[in-house]
Amino acid sequence: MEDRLEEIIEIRDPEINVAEIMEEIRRNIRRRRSEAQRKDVAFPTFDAALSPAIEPTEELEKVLHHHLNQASLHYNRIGVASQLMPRPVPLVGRLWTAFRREAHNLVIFYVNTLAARQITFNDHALRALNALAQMVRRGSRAEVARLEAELQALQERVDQLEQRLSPKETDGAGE
Amino acid sequence: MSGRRRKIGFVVPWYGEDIVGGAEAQCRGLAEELVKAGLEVEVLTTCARDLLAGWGRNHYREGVYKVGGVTVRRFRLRPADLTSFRIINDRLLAGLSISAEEEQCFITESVNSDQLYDFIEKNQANYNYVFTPYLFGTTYWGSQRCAGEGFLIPCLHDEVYAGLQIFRLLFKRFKGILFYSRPEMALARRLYQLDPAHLTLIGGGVDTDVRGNGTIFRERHSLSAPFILYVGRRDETKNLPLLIRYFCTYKERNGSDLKLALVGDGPVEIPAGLENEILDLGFLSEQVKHDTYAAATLVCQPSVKESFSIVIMEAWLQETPVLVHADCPVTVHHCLHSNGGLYFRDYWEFEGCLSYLLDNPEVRRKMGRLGRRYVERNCRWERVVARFVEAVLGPTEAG
Repeated sequence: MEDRLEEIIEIRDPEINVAEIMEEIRRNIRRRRSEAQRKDVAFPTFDAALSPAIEPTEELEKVLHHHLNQASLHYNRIGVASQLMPRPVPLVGRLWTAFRREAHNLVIFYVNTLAARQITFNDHALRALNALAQMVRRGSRAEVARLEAELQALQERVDQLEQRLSPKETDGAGE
Repeated sequence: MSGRRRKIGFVVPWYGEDIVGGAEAQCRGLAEELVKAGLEVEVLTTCARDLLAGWGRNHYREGVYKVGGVTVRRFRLRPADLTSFRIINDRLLAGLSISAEEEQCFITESVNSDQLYDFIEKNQANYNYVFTPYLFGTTYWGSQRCAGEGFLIPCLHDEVYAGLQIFRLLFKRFKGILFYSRPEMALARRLYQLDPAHLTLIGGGVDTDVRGNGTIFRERHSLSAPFILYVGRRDETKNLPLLIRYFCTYKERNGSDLKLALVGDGPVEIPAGLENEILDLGFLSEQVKHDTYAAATLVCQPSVKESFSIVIMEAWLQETPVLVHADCPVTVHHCLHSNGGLYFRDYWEFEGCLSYLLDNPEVRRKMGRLGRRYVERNCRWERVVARFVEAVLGPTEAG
């Protein structure tokens, strides 16, 4: 196998396996992340996504998802191209066109420099909004789960009370 | 095969003894090694100095030179509208889309030489032309003058230029395409739907005999603390600002005596208060660079745009493990096949990998040794030259 030129020779070692080491490191990160969540400590994301990572299930989320999605499609559509239309000017026509082209190019250069900076800002703002949307969603899900648990506890309590009451009602009905 | 007994003619935008850049260094190394192997090789290039100097003026005089034992023919640059080029390039780098006309303007105002193209056409019978890299006018227009006959070493990675229509057409134009790594070849197949029969993996080559001395470096800098080493261009395209940001966050959260050392040309913005933590070593000579690799605790290559990465091969040659970005298929591929380095996708993985390597010195050293074995087995020039010759001149010539 080593003699075949097209093959890449892999280096194996019984003690070191990079894929396994990476899995161990990632397992540790997941554990720390879930511990942080249990303790209600923020585990900040340095690399939030540009597109919304939420499922548009509820009406409000559909609206939020729509706008985040539109923002991710348009955040970098800022730059401009030359719109120069040649105008016939007698005698100095070519010189005038060349001058106008250079002037346009200069303006375009500065506008696009500004556009590039605005895109950098938009990029960060959009990632922050997407991260925020996810946090809000996680928060509302936790709140819904808490209310559901409370409702279930109340339902059980009502059932218990009904059970306690029902023999008396039966007795009464028999009288 | 019709290609036999012809010279090999590398067509490149610039060439020189002291030229920097991965694609440039690979081309020079390959040309010199082919000459050593007894083949007739010439480099056909322009009078431009390098990418940093640009193609606004002829740095060299036209004529025939000898550089590192290789014959170099330099041709005068065609004057270019650099303003138009820069405007379009800025739009691309800012993530903006460009029209078909602007794509044409981009490649027309790129580095070009009409005299070089005439030479290519007139001397087609005498050369096997090898164009590299894919991105410049010399490859785009030069290969049109020998359509279907030339070879391409693209140095491709997943970048905005690779998606342009002009390059989709370019990749269909060659008799064969040669790649420095398997993920690079996979990317080309995915982007351009190429016939696998025309593709060859030659791999990248490095000088495996170099030896660095870490003690010399540490004594010279009176440095005993562990340090991460970064070697390369100091700009956003290589992801250096991300490494600096992650390093600063790591220091804030972990408070260790770890340092970050930067090697390479150009200015770098070091955050205030961290001047003693981030060491700017500037441009180093080859031997001093290898001493620095040997002294480093690990080498970080955060770039996600690599087609081979000489930096991690040089690190491994000095038995230093590497930490690379998980979004770069090429460097991750090297790590997984060598077991010589780890990879991070976000800050938390960066911190996890870094802490793991710092806390496990024996594993770290072993990873460095495995990396060295990987380079010695895969990146020896004899191996790369044999693959190249087989692909360009045919199996008999290679044998």
